[in-house]
Amino acid sequence: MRRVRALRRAPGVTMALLVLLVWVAIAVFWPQLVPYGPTEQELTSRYEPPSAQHWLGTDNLGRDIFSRILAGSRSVLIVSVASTTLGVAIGTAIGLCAAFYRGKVDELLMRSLDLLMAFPIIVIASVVLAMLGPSRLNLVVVIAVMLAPYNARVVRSAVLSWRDRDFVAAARMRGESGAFILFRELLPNIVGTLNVEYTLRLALSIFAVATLSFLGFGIQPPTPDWGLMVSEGRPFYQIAPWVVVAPAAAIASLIVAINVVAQKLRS
Amino acid sequence: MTEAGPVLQVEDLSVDYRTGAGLVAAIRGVSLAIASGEAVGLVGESGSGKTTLGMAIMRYLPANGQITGGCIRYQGTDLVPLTQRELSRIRGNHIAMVYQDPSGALNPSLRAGEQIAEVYRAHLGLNRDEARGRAEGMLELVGLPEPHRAYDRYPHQFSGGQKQRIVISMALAMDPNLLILDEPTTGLDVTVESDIMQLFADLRAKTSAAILFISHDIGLVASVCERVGVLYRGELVETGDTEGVFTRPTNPYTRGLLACRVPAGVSKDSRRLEPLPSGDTDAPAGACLFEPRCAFRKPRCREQHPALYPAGGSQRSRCFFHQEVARAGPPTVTASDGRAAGTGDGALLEVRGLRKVFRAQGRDLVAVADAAFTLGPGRILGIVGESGSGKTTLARMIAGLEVPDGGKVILSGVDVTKPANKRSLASRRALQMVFQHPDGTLNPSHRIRQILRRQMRKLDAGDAARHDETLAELLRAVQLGPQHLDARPRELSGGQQQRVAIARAFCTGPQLVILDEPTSSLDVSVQAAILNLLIDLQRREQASYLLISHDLAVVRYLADDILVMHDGEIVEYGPAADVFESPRDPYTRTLLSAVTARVGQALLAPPATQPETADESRMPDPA
Repeated sequence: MRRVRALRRAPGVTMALLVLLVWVAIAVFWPQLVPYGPTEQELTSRYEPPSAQHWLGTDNLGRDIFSRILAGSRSVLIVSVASTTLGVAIGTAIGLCAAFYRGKVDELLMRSLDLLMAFPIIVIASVVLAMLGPSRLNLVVVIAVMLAPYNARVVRSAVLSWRDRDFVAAARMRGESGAFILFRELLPNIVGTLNVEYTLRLALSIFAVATLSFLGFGIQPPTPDWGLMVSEGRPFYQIAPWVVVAPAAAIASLIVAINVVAQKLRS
Repeated sequence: MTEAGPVLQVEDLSVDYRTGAGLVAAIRGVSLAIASGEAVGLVGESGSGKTTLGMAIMRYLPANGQITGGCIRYQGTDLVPLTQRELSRIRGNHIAMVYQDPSGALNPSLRAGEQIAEVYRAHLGLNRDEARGRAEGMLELVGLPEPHRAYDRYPHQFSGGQKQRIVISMALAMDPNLLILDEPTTGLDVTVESDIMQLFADLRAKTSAAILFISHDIGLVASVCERVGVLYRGELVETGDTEGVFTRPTNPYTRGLLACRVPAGVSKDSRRLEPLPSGDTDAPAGACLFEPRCAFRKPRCREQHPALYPAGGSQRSRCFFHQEVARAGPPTVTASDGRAAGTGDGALLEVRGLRKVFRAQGRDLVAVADAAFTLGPGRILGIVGESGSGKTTLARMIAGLEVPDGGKVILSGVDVTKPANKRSLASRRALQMVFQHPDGTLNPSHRIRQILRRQMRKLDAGDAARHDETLAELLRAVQLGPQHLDARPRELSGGQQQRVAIARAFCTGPQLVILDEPTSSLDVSVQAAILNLLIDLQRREQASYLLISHDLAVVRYLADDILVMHDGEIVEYGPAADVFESPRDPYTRTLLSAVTARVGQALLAPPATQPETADESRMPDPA
């Protein structure tokens, strides 16, 4: 009963969670769900508008867009979750160290991060990916490194509000190591902050994956990928808008849903 | 103002707070009246609802608070049904409030004088020059030096005490008919507090405002107010003339509050404190709210809720057995077992030329200048000083939390002038600390069991089974049960948290414990129990204490020796009795007179102890 009332009070959050759940299920089970092979071409039926056979129409090579969207969810989720996890881990470690040790360590870490943050994520990422060559692993690492500074700053300020508490002094007086104080005394107290951080960064990461694929630095054709699909469909937008609209809507639904959840976590 | 009735009349006021756990009653049917020129005090511990009452009168309750019954008449007009707009006219012109924290009441981006002048411009329509003149006059009235220059300064350029004076002058600027003072001196140093209280005494002669003085400090209320009300869990439990209530209490709670105060000028060797039982359990529904803690309780107290009964003179008491309480007279005082302090032979702790300099905005600030003293085994050394005197920095250097810029700390003959984590296991075991803020002293994400076990595992070589045994015994000693082991810190009260912190400090048998304001954020009733506990543990374990406190009564009570710090320097150091009796340093004298200057102290002089000891007769008279 209480759960029902909680749902009625926050219908947006319930919707968002449902959307996320559906996408995760699709990412796992898409091979069972797709009506056509996502890379299966049928050049006789190109640019077909949405119909009973092709729910979301077909693209320039006659591939079923619905199947490609379902299949594309996996790579987006894997890359964004992996890069966010890595990025938040790096950022948290840096933020913890900077806040705990203060002084020169703090200065050095935070100024280096400022340097990194001075460039827009996408610009640096595309340059680095152009040099390293596009691959899923490179994509994960590059996005993680670009997300870490933002995370580090938030973690640092959260830790700063805890580090001068007396329980930290008590830990120091019984001779605890820096690592113990960081990970056992301080970290558990910023878990709430980290949850919000993680969801916010995840939304950013999905956007980055889609953008980099769109620019051609991410997932390579013919693998179905939302950003890539938008990019491939762009020249034909006027004659077959569904080619672009469907993947764009998929990206938007994921990002909006995550932001709604983040918003809820924050309050 | 034509009517001769009271300026403020609160009748049967009830206030509830909406919380996650449902509605919580903060004020339960409180009635009080204040006439023009009269000062009424409201005493209570944290959670008694005294601040809520002040807020309710101003109609400044937080969003989850609501007045559920009763009325608040200001000069006959009920404020409860008024709209915010109508209220703001009355508030602005007639009612003023001074809060505990002065920095929150001043706008940091406006000049101090402007904020007072604004009152004159807005309410009296004066022009700039006239308003400035009046404001400067006001600053002079509250005793700020050079009011003309003070007018143009910003709030951050004043000290805490000066800021509170400015807030008071703002409150008085519109010549209010009703002045509400909510803990106006809490958080200020003793010498500043005594100045502000003197200011109130002077102002009483100049204004005819009705004053509601809210405080947890019985001594302060006694020095200002003619009448007083004692609040317990949102309920008035005793009202009457200040003198009557505080010298002949007719309610067990009032009596308990008076008994558990640390009497001025008394030492632990001559008298034991009398704590109130803890208030951690709730009374059953329909019972007297104080029943679980009451020394006079009878079966009837569990079945019926008492009303406020006339209890002789002007007094009214919410107790079925008020006559019995009154007959019991002033609280009896148990003599201490009189065991002497350690001999002080040899030196457990030796501090030589300890020095700490902080660099702030390019300037060197000497926090501690060449401090030197020795502390013998089994003795208690009290360090006294105002905020910024360097006493906490000194303690943190000894604890290894701060690295000194010069000098040495020697503990049991071993040089420990280094950070705590570089010290040997033996040195770390030997020195522990109890901190000021109970809520910061325990990690909120750990359970009590985890906190205590970790302390033992890190500092004690024994096996887990023996650790658990030691902990169980220690837990009993600090009056906590095994059920508290699974609790998280936020589920405990402040007093309980501090008990856990004390258990943590003692669980590995330290020789020296640093106590940094161990009771200053606790209620008086809890303070007495904690101080008794600290004395018992000290005697049992034969540990030495380094006690830091701004509360001279507490230091006088606990300490064998006293060290007075002022601006980073040790200005006085000697046996407690000598320092209190014949202070040599002018600063020490100022500090001591600031405490004894409290008018209320005379009224509340400690009741005579039954067995008079030789030590007691040498005590200075606090009056």
